[in-house]
Amino acid sequence: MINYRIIDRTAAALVVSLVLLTGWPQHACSQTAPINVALSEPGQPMTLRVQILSAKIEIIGERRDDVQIEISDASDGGRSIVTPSGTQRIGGGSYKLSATERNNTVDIGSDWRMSAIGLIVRVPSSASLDIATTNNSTIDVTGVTGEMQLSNVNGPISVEGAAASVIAESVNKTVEVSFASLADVSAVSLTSLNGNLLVGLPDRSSAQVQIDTSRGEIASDFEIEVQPSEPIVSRQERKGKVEVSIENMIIANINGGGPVIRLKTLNGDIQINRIAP
Amino acid sequence: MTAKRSSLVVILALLSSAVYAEPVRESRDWVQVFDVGGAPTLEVSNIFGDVTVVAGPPGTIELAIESVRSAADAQSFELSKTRIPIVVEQSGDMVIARVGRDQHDWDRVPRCYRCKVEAQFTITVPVNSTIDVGTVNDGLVTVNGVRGSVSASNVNGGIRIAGLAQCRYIKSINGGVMLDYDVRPKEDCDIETINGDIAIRLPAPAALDLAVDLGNGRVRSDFDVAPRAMAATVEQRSRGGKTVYDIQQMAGLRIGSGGAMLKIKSLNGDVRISRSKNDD
Repeated sequence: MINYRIIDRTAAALVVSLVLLTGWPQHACSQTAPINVALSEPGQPMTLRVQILSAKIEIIGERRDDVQIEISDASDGGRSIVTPSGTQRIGGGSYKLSATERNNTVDIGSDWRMSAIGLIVRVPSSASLDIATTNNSTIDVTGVTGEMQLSNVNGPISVEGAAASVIAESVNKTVEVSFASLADVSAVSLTSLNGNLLVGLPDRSSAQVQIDTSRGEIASDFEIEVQPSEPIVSRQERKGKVEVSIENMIIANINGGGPVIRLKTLNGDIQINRIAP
Repeated sequence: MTAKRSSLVVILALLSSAVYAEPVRESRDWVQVFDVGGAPTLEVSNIFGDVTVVAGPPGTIELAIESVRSAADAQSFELSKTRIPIVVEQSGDMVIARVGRDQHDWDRVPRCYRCKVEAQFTITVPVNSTIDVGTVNDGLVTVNGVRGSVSASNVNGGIRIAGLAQCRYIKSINGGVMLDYDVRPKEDCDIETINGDIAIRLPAPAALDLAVDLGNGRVRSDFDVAPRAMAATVEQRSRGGKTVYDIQQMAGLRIGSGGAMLKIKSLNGDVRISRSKNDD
């Protein structure tokens, strides 16, 4: 009697071995050698600005006096070529981007028609960030303690180890920011239309949270003291029209209150997490 | 009052002379023959009109030029002869034909009013010539049978090269590019258009490498292709207190066993790689 289970396992092992030996069929993947951008004033505060339509952006803060950029093709071979053997993806991607350094500000921008890229940027840990991307995109920041402004329209944002003010906005995906310390934080604003908002605070943090979610749930690892509040009414007059907006937020203190953390989403959940020491 | 009337009369006289000035137009055709060595160089820079180069017998370069010079008035016409000369000169084995001055004169005072030189160049060169030819408006760049290195440019018209063996760069802004190789490409070549299609014909079996940077166009090949890893290029430049790093990655493809690299860039054009007609 044939043991089909053994045959299945053997076949599976054979397939796995073949894959390990030959690799998955893939496009010619490319990655640039790291590009080191020297700063005009090494050791002084610097700003990194990135504006790329479609990119998986990773920013790593570390002890260094320059900026290092690594680029890889993150597209799935967006363009195709018709050949006698059928239509094939053109792998290896094609992109054109520039990095400009001036007065300790490094700007990274791209050709608008570029396919998605992967971008790893290593910066001095105290760097300030201004990062924007739109489609097929992610923003991941670790170890950066300077102020940051992050915008990703259709992808998530993740920040680990923040220690200064953070403004982060994603229209459709999750925004997750965890703080190493709130000592130098003056204000935080995390917003999303359809994504969840997750904020991580060190144990024994003091903060004032301003929470607004229309359809989502709110959860907190901290005890929060909800403060009496009234709707914020703002009125703007222009070109003969009057625009009145009413914002009804929950204002609550954590450990007596501190820097303001504004969390606003329409359809997402809000979660305030305690980071274990 | 008298002074005002006088100045009015002068202004009216000037205006009437400007309005009734006769445009001037002159046609001139001529042929020049230059003795050259075995592998000469030809450079042609035209503004309005065709540039046609054909391979001919060794030892001479023959230039046939049909030109029409025109201007709004006689004075401008005379001025145009210094502003937009037709220069043909030889230096050793190099022959240069140019419409316009070598250096651009941006502050053109006095103005050459409605000055224009249309020129049709027909040039016969030895087969092994190296050529660099271009035009800007109302013209086609055509090269036939030249086996040396070919470079060609056009702004608002097409480029057609037949019997091609090697090229250095082929650039067009608004016209199509058609390259008909009759041997395997012998050297790397940059082929660029903004709004034109690129058609490349190759004899089978083809063997070359492609680096492709396309905007909105489609790509079709009569040959099977394989992906080819390409290294990104990084160029660094410093100016005005800033340092710029330009980083470019092109998609790589290989046809057959690979060979010379054709770098193909197009923003809005299609790319077609096909077999030479002789292979049909």
